[in-house]
Amino acid sequence: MGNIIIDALVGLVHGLVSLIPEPVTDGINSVVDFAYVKFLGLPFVVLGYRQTGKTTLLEWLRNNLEPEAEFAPEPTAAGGESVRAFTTQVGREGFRVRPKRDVGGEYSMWETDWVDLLRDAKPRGIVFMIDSNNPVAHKDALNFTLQMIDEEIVAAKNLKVFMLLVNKSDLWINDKSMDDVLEDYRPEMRRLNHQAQKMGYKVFTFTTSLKTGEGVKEAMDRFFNKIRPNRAKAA
Amino acid sequence: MAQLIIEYRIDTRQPGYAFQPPTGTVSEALLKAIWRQAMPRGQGWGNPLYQGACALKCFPVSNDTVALSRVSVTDQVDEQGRKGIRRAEIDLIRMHDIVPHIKGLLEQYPESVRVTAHQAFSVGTWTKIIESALPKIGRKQAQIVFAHPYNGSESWQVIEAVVLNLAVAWPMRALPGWGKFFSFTTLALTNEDESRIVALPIEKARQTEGVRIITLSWDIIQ
Repeated sequence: MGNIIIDALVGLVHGLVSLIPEPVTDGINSVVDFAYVKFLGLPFVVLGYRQTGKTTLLEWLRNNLEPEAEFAPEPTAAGGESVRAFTTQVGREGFRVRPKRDVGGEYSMWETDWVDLLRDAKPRGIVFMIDSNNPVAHKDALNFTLQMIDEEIVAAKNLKVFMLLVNKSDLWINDKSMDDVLEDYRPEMRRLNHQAQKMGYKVFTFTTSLKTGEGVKEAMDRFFNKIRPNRAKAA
Repeated sequence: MAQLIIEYRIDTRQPGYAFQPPTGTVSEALLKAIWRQAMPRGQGWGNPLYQGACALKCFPVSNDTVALSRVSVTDQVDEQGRKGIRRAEIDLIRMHDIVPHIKGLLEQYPESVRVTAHQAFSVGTWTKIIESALPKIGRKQAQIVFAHPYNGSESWQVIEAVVLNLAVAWPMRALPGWGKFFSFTTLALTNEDESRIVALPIEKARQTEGVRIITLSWDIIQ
């Protein structure tokens, strides 16, 4: 409830910003940015088909991108798991983040847990995870997500970044490139880029391995810097 | 009384958790409400300690219907070797039948379990329960969290019986903010996003924040 009121106030401040001279708006932006990054938490969600590493990514973030040797998550069950806001040290800066829930990736979760999560989180960013296996299922999941963004106008109105993580690179990087993997996703990427243009959000694609840590820091650093309110700081 | 099953399948076109068909005449809205709440929360079910563990989770799904989910941790393993896979059998029960139903469940426990569970309700335990149950200013709904070392499903039956006894105890209904029915879970691995009454293994209870834990020690129970 408190977060809803604060979000509304932040929205109001953002609205008023357009009426105020630039030097003042810079100051206000910095305050809003500070409030999100240090106290409220940047709202984002992690989606993707089953077994792509959503739970592991959240655990990585909780552990400041240090892999936890004994972390062996079970398949996330129906309803998902609540995730409290936490601070993660990505790059030089600590970000307070608010992923809200860890949801499962199977088909049965999409209409329930994914839609609920999007509505609840009103995310500024979406991390969507795929890997090189089973492109049909990943394509279905990605198409569902894009459809959900189209349909859930209110929930998706704050969306600034859609980051596609092509995960588990340790398993495929010697045989193919990210472009080879994404070759299967041409129609979906076209749809994603078209939607991004229409709705005004940015699309990034990264190769990562949550097993070796390859690419994770760079991806998350860029992601959080791009979804923060004062994106000038990202530079 | 309709029965539904949520289970994990890897031998289907759409693997993972799903309702096992048929779901009969249960409405889409009711299925979604059940789906969201049927499984006890928390991570760590893959720990060999919890293999074979059972939990009862009871929650309202509409104004006049309650779902009673019997969850068990299976020995299933997915394609990646992940364990901790659960299976839920869910009964839908009319609201005004739930208390007699729970009393019926209690009668099915061995007498030693029932007696031990009754002994847990000492004056000291009731004091802690009432303190936890009373509404707190600026807090969400009050929650009663029990904790006890988990040493297998058989010994956990006493804790189950404690939770069930509390769920049907008339003093709870007299407390402000509790009403005629409230949710409960006999075994979860976190209190977050869980029922009004929930029991946790003690090592998981130690990880909770901002909630008073009522530790049921064997000294109290025996």
